[in-house]
Amino acid sequence: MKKRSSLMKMILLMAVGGLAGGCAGLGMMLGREKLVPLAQDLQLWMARSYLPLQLAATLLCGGAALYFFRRAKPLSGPETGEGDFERGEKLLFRSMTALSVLMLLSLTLFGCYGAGLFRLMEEEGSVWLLLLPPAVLLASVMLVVYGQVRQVRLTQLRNPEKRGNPLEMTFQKDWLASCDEAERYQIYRAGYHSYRLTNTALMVAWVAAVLLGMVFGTGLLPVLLVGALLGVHTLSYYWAASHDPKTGKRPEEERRTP
Amino acid sequence: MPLENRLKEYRARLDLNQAQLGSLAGVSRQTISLIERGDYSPSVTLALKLAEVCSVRVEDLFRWEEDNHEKA
Repeated sequence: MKKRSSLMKMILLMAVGGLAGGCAGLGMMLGREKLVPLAQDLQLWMARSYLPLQLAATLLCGGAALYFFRRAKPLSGPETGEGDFERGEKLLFRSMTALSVLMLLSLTLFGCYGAGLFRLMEEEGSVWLLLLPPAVLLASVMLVVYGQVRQVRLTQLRNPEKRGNPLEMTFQKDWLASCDEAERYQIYRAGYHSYRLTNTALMVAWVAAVLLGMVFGTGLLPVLLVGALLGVHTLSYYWAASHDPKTGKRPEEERRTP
Repeated sequence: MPLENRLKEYRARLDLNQAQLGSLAGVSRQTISLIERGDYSPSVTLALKLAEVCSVRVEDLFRWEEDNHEKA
């Protein structure tokens, strides 16, 4: 009885999802004449407004990161009480989150600027439109990297057993090697949670790419890109689950090897 | 988690902070904090190490509650 109700629930969910997607697609097809110019105007506006938006994002997120970092620093010494130490950890986590959000926003805003660049060049044709935004993006990324290095150094001050230089390519490997069992458990748990969420997000992205292709004529590339990401995401998980990531062998192959 | 622990109590008896106990057991301060809060159940090896540091038996330090297990 329980199995049948789970099956019915799954069928119902798929049917509702299909219906919602169909309605969205139909709505977009019917409203295409209004939607396409609206999207093009939005693209142009994003390209034109890249610099002020980037500045606002940097001030907001960068400011928040700095604020939380400064509050965490005095709560990080070896003589700090346990309650204050935990508070310092939460503040440092907020600082890291703010910087990650800034990085995401910077890349997204620059992507939007790039999407509207050709039309903007046709209308305004200034060479600064080509030079200034990439320089601003580079400055923003360097600011994020600098902030993240400071955050890692503070984490290492709080937890002296942590190893790794954030500026080196082997940082993640060195950091994981210096984590003990509980920290690795947290990392693996967070990794699995992220895997499940990304699975859903990529499926939604695939549906969106197909609908946008039908309505706005975005072509093959978005669908192929999302498909490729979904493939890498899923297959890499299955491979890692059945092989030792260090040796690349399956457990039964390792047992056979003398 | 169905595992009850008295780690904080024994740590207080030894007058150690989390970092010091972690150092003696070969784990981080954060791990000690997670175990004390009940957010992480240690491996057998770590449980034995902690019991040795606290000079008690593992069963005195950690207890698996039958009632909690049934509820789970």
